[in-house]
Amino acid sequence: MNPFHSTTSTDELTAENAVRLFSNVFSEFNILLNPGHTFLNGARGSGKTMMLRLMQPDCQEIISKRKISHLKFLGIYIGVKDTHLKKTDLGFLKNRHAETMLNEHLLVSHMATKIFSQFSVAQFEQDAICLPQLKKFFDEYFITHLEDCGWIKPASIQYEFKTLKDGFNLMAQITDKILKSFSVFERGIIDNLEKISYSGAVLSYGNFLFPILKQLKTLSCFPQNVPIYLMIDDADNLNRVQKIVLNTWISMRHIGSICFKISTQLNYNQFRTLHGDRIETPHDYSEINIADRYTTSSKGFYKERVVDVVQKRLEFAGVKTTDPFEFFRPDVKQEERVKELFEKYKSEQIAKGKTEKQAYDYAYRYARPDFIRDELKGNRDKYNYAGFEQLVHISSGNMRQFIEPAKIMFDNMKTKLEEAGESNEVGFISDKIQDEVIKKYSVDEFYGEFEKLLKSNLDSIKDEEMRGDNADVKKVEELKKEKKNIEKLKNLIDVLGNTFKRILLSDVSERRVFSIAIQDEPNEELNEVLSFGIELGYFQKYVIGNKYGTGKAQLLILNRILAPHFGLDPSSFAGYKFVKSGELSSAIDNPQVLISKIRSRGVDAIFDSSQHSLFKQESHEEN
Amino acid sequence: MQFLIVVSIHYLSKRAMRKIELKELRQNIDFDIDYFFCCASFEERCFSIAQYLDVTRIKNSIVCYNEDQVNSFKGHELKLQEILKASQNLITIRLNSDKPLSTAEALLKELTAIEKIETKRIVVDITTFTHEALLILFRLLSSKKIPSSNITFLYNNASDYAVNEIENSEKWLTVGVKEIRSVIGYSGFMSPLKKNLLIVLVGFEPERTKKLIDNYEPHAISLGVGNDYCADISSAIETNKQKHRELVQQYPNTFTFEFSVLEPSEAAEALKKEIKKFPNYNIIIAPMNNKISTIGAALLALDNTELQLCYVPARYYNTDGYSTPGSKCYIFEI
Repeated sequence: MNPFHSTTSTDELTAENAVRLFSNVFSEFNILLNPGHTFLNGARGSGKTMMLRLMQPDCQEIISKRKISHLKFLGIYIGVKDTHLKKTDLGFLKNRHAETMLNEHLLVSHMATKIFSQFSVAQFEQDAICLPQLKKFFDEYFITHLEDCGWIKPASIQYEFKTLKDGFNLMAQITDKILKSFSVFERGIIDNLEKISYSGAVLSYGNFLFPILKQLKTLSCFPQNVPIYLMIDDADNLNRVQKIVLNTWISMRHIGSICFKISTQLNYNQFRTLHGDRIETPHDYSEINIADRYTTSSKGFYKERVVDVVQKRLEFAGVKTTDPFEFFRPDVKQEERVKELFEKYKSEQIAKGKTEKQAYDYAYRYARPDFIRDELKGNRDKYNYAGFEQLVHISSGNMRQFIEPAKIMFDNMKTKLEEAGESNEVGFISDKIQDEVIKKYSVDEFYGEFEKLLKSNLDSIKDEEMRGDNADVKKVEELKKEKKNIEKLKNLIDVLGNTFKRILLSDVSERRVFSIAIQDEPNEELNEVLSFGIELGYFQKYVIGNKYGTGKAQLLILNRILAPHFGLDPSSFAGYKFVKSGELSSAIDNPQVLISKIRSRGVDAIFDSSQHSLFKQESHEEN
Repeated sequence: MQFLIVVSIHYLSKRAMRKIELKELRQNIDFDIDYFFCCASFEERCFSIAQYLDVTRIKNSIVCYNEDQVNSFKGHELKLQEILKASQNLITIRLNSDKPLSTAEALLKELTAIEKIETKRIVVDITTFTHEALLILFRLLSSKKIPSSNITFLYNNASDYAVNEIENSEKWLTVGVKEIRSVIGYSGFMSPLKKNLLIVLVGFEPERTKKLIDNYEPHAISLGVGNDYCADISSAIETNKQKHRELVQQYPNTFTFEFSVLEPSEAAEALKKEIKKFPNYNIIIAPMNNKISTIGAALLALDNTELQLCYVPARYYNTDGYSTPGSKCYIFEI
């Protein structure tokens, strides 16, 4: 079993395994647990679903060692898949037939079904009071509210249940059937475009979901006076109208009864409500951005989390070596040499009267860059990117960027062992395999794909040029603009990669630079290129104070997955350089001019000569 | 009685697929055509069939094209119109590969305008429609109560794919994924009570398939591989199987099955058999192989309306060398 393969969806993990595998090093997790509406934003693979899984009652019972009736909240997980709610056919409703109402109906029916089905498996204590209460709820609230929403109770069916589980299951089956009827309508929209007509039940938040949940909470088996958390995972996958509907629910601020915990993959681009106003933080909701935690503070936290996750995965897969540092072994010879340099620099600094910490920081700052510069002469192929520490840095705060190559490394190691006729039990990954895989991954996953984008765009332009007078002028312009953006972004990344390499091999004091801060406001063209780079994942963008302390500046951190491609020290994201946007604008048009300027006049002539660090002080814990 | 929906796919295999040389097309389509549908594209294959038909026997030629892709057509749309100008009436329909609603409306408008469509003889060259547009057209035709014998589908094979790359390992058809969307008319029923099974009819684009799987994160994956080939070179089947193997290796616990790329009914049967293994799952099918097997997926989806067909438009297509026309034509009725 490859420990880095996800054999089970996170939402399918048993509570015991989820609790066992969860890496609770996020302080965000504790924020998420608090009442209130929250948006949890993070790239795919950053651990959002796992956090939500841990908030479900079965996990909370284990974590808090309390029965469900004593939990502080009831978390219901509602995953949103690409095509479950955002159905293309619904687009036909726009300006034709009750677009908002029907989208809300779909959303509510889907959520209600999920809610009841999760209640049906929750470990509610069934006593003499609760079952009659649920039966009364079913007859007097559930059925009545459904009928008020236009649902017609089948005359031939007598609804009965003898346990809480069956009761909730029955309710889930009923709302599921309502959803099924709606799906028939959805599929038939195309056949009736001129006269779309829906005559089934219409469930809304105000008329159904909210009053039903509010009433359910009063049942004696439910924890009293605590909110229900509706945890919507990957809300980016809702369509525009559904997002607006959800925002409207958030704006109602029913947080005493219902809190929305909404995870997004950073593409939730709609904050309007049905009333036209916007939901805003912190007024309406709080926001957690997972990536911020790696790049802005508490440097050690991400590594801790990867250690924890890897350790648990290795244990789970039954691998004998569960220490990630042992499992992802570095190139011993290389690391010994870096360590020798480190010790030498440290002793020299202490001899010069520096404190232990100052000496440590100095040695950490220079040992590896000097090794790359002086002993490898900057040769990318000679530097070995193996070792847990380096792989963590290269993954740039995105767990998936660690797990994906690790998965390939494990498979390659297994194949190697099998070919050698040895036991195929993988006890560690050789440094050679780690280095090979991560270098290839760096080129394939990012730079290679980027090159393909450029090539295919160039092909389209070429095709168009052959059409002469028949060309679609608007389309040509768009394509050419896109082509320019791809080229400009490529230029920018090339210039930055090469500049950072030059800095690494130079004599300046901080040579571990992977970020730039833009001193002034970039023009529209540069902004477009930067946004394109962020969209493709080459940069992470943050806002920091400008160098004069008078306002804000954009900070762009290059994805460290590019470190092996450019031959950079992946641990070098701490430093950044201020640069004028004009220099970047010239770089995106003509990288050679800037590169030769840097070559002849030095990095400091273009980039601000002073040193800046994302962090106030290097920390011993990080190293 | 609707011609497709009511026909169980068990009966479909009775109508045999005919494989002929393109140059024999006139002898095989030896009747007057009321409506001939085709689609201009960046692939040269878009006019292979039209140029071998007896155009003088076509009353209405309907040339579709994706207006957002026309820049990559190298004049193919004009050439296609030129070929078909001898038909009595030449109509062009603007589709848009980024706007499925517009595409569906445009096709629907055209079909609705045809009086007594159930009495018309229709021929559809399915070769170069996008998978999505083809599925929509098929869905719309299926709702028009046309006797199945009145619609003939034609498909020109490719002699090879990604012809601008010599090495098999370098061959590519598309780059990137724009989005994943359900196909109009095939939205299915996705029950929140069930797990999700994603079935992919894997084609030449393992990267696009991988992105689909990674984005969708289904509970179960089943990757189908073609058990025959219609490309002129027999190595196509091996290349396809190799790409399929590579994909399967990346997703352990993946289910696999084989399907026909030459017989829609057999492709539908293979899918049906596969789906039976997952009785309590929502079924999402991504037909990403050739257009014949795509029709197979549509057949099944019309028979089993709870399953969903999805489409994954690419960010870029290898418009320079996507394919070269093969010498064969496949003819079938449903």
